[in-house]
Amino acid sequence: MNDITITVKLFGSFRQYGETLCFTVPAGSSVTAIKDALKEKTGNALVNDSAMANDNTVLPDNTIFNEDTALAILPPVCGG
Amino acid sequence: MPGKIHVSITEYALDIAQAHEFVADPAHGAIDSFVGAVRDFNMGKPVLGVSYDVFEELAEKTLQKLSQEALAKWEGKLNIYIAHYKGRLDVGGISVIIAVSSPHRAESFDACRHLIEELKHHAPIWKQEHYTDGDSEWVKGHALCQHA
Repeated sequence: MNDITITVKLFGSFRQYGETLCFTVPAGSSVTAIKDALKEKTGNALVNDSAMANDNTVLPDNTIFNEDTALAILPPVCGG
Repeated sequence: MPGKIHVSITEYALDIAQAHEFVADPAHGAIDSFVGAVRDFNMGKPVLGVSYDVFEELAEKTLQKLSQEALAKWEGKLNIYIAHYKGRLDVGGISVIIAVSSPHRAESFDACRHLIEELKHHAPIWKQEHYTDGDSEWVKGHALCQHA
């Protein structure tokens, strides 16, 4: 199975790891698998309470990726 | 005629007069506005300022969607202005302005309250508080996870 590259923009407390994190996962990986990879890379349990999104919408955990993709990790929000 | 909407994320100082000018309408007898400001104390610690981090692309779309939903809920009889600050503010700085106009006051009050609560729960915006002791901390918020 091919690997794909996932680039994740970081916000809020994930900024401690920089602007973005980039890693590879097998094609066909889900949001859940990508969050697992992020948890492994950062060791940060806040990933469990965070959502993944693209520039248009928050993505359900069962969303599947088959090609290189840019995403964002969104910790719990608190605007206003 | 359906209401009009303005949403923006900006690094410039927010302006309540601009918000009122946008929502003003000869058919509307009420304008209600909410102004959020940085306060000097939170969670038992004196606060110097707050940095607002924003996922701009998604935040503007989220605010647009929330505004469209409010228009539908109040049957289009609203004009809506939402602006949120991005960057660091000192105590007293204005972080968000929501202004809503409507023919009568009840819709403006209700829609303005509805919009700030929805913004706090759904807009991809984060606050980092800076304290007088030199420490900084990201404020806990509302999870956006969508478990399918």
